[in-house]
Amino acid sequence: MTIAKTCLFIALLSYSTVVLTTIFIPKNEIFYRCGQAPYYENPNTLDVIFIGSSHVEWGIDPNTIWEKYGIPAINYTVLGLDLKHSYFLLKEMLKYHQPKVMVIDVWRICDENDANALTNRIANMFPFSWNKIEMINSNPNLDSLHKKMDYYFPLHLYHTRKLDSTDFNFHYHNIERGHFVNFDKKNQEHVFNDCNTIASLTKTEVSYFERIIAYAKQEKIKLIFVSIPHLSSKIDLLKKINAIELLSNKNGIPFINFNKEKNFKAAGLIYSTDVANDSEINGHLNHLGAQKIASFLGEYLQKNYHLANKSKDIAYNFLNENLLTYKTNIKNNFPFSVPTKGNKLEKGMSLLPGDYLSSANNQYKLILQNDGNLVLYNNENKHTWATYTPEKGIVNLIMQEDGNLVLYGQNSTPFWASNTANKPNSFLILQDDGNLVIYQNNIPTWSSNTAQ
Amino acid sequence: MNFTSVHFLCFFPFVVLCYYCLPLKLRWVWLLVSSYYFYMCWNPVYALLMLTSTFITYLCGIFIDSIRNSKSGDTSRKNIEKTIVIAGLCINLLILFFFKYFNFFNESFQYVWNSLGMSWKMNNFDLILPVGISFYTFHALGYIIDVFRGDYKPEKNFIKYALFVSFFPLLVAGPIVRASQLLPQFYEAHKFDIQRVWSGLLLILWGIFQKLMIADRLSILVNTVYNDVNHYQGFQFVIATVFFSFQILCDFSAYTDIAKGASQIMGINLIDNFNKPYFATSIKEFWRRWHISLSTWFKDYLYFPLGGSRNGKIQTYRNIMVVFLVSGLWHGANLTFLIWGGLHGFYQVLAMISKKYTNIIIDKLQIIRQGFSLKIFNILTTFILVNLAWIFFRANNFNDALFIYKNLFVTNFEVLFTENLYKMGLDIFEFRISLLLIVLLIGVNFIQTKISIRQFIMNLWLPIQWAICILSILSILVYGIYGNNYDASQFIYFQF
Repeated sequence: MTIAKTCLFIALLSYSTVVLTTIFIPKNEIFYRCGQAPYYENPNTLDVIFIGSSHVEWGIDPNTIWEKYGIPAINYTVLGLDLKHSYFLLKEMLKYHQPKVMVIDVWRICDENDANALTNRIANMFPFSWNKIEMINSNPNLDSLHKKMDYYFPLHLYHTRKLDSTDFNFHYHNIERGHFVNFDKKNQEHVFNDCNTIASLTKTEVSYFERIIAYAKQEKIKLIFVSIPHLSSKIDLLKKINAIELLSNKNGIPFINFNKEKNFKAAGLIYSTDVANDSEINGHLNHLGAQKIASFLGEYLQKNYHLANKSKDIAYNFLNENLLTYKTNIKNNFPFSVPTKGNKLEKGMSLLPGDYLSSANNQYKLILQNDGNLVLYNNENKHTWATYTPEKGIVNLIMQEDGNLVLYGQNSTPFWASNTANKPNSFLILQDDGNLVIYQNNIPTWSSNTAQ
Repeated sequence: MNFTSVHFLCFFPFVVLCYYCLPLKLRWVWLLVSSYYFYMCWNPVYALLMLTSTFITYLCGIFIDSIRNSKSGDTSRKNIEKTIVIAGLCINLLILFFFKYFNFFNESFQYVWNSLGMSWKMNNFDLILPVGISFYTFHALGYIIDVFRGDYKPEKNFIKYALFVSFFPLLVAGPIVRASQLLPQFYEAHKFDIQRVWSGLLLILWGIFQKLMIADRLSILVNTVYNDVNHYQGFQFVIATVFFSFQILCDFSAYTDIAKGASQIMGINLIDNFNKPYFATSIKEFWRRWHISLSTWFKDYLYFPLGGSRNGKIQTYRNIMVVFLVSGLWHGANLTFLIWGGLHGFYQVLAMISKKYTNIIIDKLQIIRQGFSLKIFNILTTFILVNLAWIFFRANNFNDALFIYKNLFVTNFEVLFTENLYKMGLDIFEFRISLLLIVLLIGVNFIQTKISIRQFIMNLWLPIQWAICILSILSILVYGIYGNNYDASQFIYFQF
């Protein structure tokens, strides 16, 4: 009885401490949310898992893989992750999921300089377990119990934090599935540095590489190593990646190096449009790039690993619903990121909330916003004209057969019109001068009078 | 190994688990091994010093016993016993002197000689003070004197004697116990008793609460002010000194509570070391409530041998001053500690001299002696006097202490109503929490004068006991001053 009571007391105390720790760990970083993937994903519903650093987070869009190939996938990433720590992420993920393929990004191999920060990030993500202890103990900088305390028990480090409302948000469901959506563009060209020489790897580096292979083999999971574009010019890093590629080949494990010009182009990537304009790091991909890499990898996985298309499987309906929300969110948050409907609205065509027209010179945009307001923006993102119809439940904007341009709400209630009825064969165009005009037989019948 | 460290959190349960699993005969060996491991975590070499001290005093006891049992004459026997005791005391005191006081006396002599125009030059020794040396030396000295006086039969079992000197809960900061209080308990069989263990754990929890929540929080403000005295004045010194008075109480009392709780878990009872000292109505009473084990040690082994109060007033005053000056010096080899001890001696002598006159005043003013008002007045007066003495105790050096005294009475009450109040190391939130915790401490001390809070908690319904316990632990985890963001304070009395 005494032992049972003692155990119950310790269990209660431990549970309270875990809850407290969860509150105090900073959760506002997207990386913390990505790191929760093993615990909040439906168990054993993942066929492919991408492990890596921010390069994977920015550079692979699992929703695209689902949309195109019906392969359930997710990114499991940590800022600055090196190959050594990928081993611990692999083990953590495999505690909860049994994927068919694990794709591991090779960037840094074993980074001792950033080791403490990396240990800290992963320690914040992992619940207390032997894997966590092993991960912390693998850090050579932490040579005493006192130094390890912050990592074993994050409360030791964070109990002085001032809390805010985000600390009580335990909703970790990641609609982006670990992908960071970004639409910045580099808008410049890049000279590839295809280094072909090989650096020697340290014992630790080789040891962790072998551990990854052995563990995947033990768990009967196929491995693929990739090097997602980081476009680094650091020769030492490129040589190390080459060394890993060589080791992979020796072990019969595929290695796809997207940092080599040939593979970069094979994936359809274009530096000026698909690489984000990140001043700090040379080569994070933007969303367009991530979609291209995802398409390439999706096809590769389907072809080589015969992964079934599960998009019609009822058990995976949640991923279809997730995809819809994901797309809507992108439309809402990045209104000009979805393909434009061109610069013309011909008779019978319509715009739905979120859709937009773009002038041929790409300087002006007419968007039917999600709030129902139809707004014309100039190249400085300032509005020059609008219908002022927000919050009216606008459903669409139609260029009617009769030549009238009308904004309709629920139950076909018109809220705004150009009053150009009885002018058939009309069309609406957003001109390069910023003027929005309705023409019938090349005669303007209506305009927004916003020519610049 | 600090009592509030994770190291101790792992060490102690392991020691207790093995202690109860081992057969009775081996338990004391295990505790001795654990105690030496505990000590060696600070400095393994200094464990040899403790072992030397233990061995010498153990042999003294054995020799005294064998001489007593020999057939030689009474006078020569007494003389040999005296020689052995004096030798034992001298060797131990010399070790203490060498490690703790040599540099202080060397510098003091140099200062005096140089002031007199004479040259004196001897280099100081670059030594780290062995942790707890004053405590275990006093354990050993008390033992020899007790054996010599015939108050305690010499211990024949070296393991148990060595454990008496080095028993880890009280090794580095007391309480200083007598052989007669501790050694017999090593011969008793202590069975695992869940109620006793739970009671011990509650005491440890209260100790950790006092240390991490109160003492270390208050120390932030105290250290900020006392380490940079030139930037503060008046009421800021008052706040810092009052905070220090509660810091040192919580710090030392926390150590004692953890030591007592840990011993209790193993079935060993230690004496009380504190009894709500700030409720004392006189300095004399304060010393019956503060660091009780040290006060009684000095009373039994110094004050009484000097003659106590039997040889007239002047000698009594002298004896009091000697005891308190030595007590001051025991706390540290520094002029500030000497003055602190001297001040307490002076307070007591002054109280004795003026007793007659204060009685007259009380009678003339028709103040009820047992009345509440007089009691409060006396408590406040004692508290203020103790605080004035703490200034010397805490100040980093004599000049800092003088500076504080000079600027203590600058009237800058406005500091209470400005942002300057929160520029002493604690922000507004931490400052308010500190005040709240001081009020809580006073409240707990007050309730303890009426009932035992620990016993009260233990009589509650089990889930409520657990809830109190878990909430206290969680409060410490959240609001405690620990972790790498803080420079964790050692227990103050470790340095003595």
